[in-house]
Amino acid sequence: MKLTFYATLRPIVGARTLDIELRCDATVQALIETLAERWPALREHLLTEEGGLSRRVNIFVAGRNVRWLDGAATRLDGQEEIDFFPPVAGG
Amino acid sequence: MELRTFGRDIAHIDLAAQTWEMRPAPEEWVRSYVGARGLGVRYVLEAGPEVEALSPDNLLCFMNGPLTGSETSMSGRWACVTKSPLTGTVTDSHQGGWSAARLRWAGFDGLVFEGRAEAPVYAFIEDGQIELRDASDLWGKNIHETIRILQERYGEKNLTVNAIGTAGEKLVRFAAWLNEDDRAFGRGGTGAVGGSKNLKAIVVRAGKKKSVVPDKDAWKAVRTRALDTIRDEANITSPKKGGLSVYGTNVLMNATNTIGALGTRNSQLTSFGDRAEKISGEYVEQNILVGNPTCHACPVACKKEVEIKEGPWKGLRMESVEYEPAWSLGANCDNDDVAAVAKLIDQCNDMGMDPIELGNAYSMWMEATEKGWVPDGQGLAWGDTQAMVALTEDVGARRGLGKALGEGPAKAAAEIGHPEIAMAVKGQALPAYDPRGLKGMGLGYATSNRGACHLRAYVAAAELGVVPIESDPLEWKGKGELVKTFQDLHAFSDSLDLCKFSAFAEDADVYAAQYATAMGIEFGPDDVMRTGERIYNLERHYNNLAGVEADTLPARYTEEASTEAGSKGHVSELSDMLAEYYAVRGWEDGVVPKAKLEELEVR
Repeated sequence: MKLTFYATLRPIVGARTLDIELRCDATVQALIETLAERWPALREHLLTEEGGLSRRVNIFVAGRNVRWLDGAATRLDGQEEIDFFPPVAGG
Repeated sequence: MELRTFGRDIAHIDLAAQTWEMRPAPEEWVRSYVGARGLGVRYVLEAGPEVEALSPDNLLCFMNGPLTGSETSMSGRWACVTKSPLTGTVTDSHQGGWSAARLRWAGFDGLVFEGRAEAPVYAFIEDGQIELRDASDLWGKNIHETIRILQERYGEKNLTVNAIGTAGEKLVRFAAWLNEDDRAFGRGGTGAVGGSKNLKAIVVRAGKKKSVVPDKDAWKAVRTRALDTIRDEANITSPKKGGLSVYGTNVLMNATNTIGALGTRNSQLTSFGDRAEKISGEYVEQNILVGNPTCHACPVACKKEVEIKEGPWKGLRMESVEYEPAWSLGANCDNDDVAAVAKLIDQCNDMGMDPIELGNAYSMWMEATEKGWVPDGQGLAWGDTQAMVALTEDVGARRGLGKALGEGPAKAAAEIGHPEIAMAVKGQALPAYDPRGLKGMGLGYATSNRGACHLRAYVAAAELGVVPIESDPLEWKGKGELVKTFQDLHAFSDSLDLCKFSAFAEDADVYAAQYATAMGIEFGPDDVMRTGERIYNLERHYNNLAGVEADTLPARYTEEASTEAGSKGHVSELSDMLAEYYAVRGWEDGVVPKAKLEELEVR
């Protein structure tokens, strides 16, 4: 799947986009745990201390924030384009 | 409430008579409407809602709030309030930089201009005194040159200059005031009101002064609490770490693009695709950023100074490539050249125009051109940046095609018989959040008291997951109450006057504590919301009396479905949201009933 990182998350990953493979029928939870393992500095942005989905990230699957889908339990088929943003707003 | 710390020093300047006097604001007005936006609206009401916006009888108010110029974080703001020549509504626009603070330090809480000077003048303000001085040598000059001349005349130390450019002089209906930091009273055409009064500039010279408050220790404690929330690394305001601080407002470009809420080609599409990246905050930060200037008492520093390093505008150094103009002059005009965007914004800053309105005028005209609706020889092709730059000179000088577009996109589209392609509400163009992908924002546009505006409600903070109150951007139910809550909260913060971005970290409780300790009064979060509601209803009452058109959105958003991922297939369910909104407001089809005015003590 294609992952794109924005704003303050991009320098942590060191790239705008990544292609990664996850096992079939994975979830957003599995994805963010994989990312946090590979980039430890991402962990505080992606995961709460309890290991849940942090409020410091907004993850979009095909343009929909997973908060309005099934949250960290949102299932992924491996073909999606997924976008990672820190909270963003402005005038 | 005694006017110990705010409200005593309101200068009334009669431009026709060339006189001024200091008169305290009525205590009831300060108690009811706080300052800045709220107090300014109450003053403007005195001229009567039926007043012609560009007549001498209209009032032009520059109002500080009770926190302006103090040590409070994000308090470097003031409001320009008047009747708008663009919308016919009461309007208020807010400006950052250092002008507001210097006015306070010079001994003034607000300036109320009335009448019309016989010849161009500027106001020189220092040490509690105001002089109207001859501006005939400045008339016809644009803002950057005007400021340079006045800085040479008075020196730069402790000086701030606000000026209009040729757009204001020529009564372009979306003309703006700007100061030396390129901060604008951007929306609603306040610059044209200045031009109609022959008021070219406001010059203030004042060094920093400490706030006088009833209880210094309590004051310091609440300010520290507010600053801590702004600095919290979990908030986007966090200095040098949060998205707003690092990338500025344009950190939004890729986000709204991703969710199908970035109007493109005059909002015929809802995403700019991969091209959004080229005009985004991330791109600016990596390629052309040279500085992070800030306003008085602000640790966030969201302004982004850029320098163009190649191409036809090489060498241009300006601030700031904000999200709104990067969208209006970029994606919505099918333009992905960030250097051209910077050039166009700088032209707006120099001639004194609102780039949201200008960009919408261009995108409307580009669509009209595409459809064969414009006169021969007056077409404007999508993304033709050279033509846009040339046309901007004509709009600011009000000549040729620029004369028609200077009326704003709503009037210009109506003039060619196609009002449906103007993306505007009450005559003011829409900002950069497509109502099909952010439904609460659409309701906010429709019910804004100054015409389409993202800042009245700014429920995007909830719909984009920035504040703890989360709201699905594609769900219309519940948006009535959400929009009302945000409108009331911001009506209060705009009256303090704190930067809108403070609301990404602070809440009604923090606002209340800061106001209470500044004024030495009892004031809680419920008072914040009730006062904000009173101000919002005062504005709506003004508009009702002025005969302002109904709350609506262009049919494009309610009838033409979103084209792109994230919001594909969605339209704005405006009528459903409006019914919900009017019910929670207690309004009758957009009109404030007498009982509501009495309940809220709107007087």
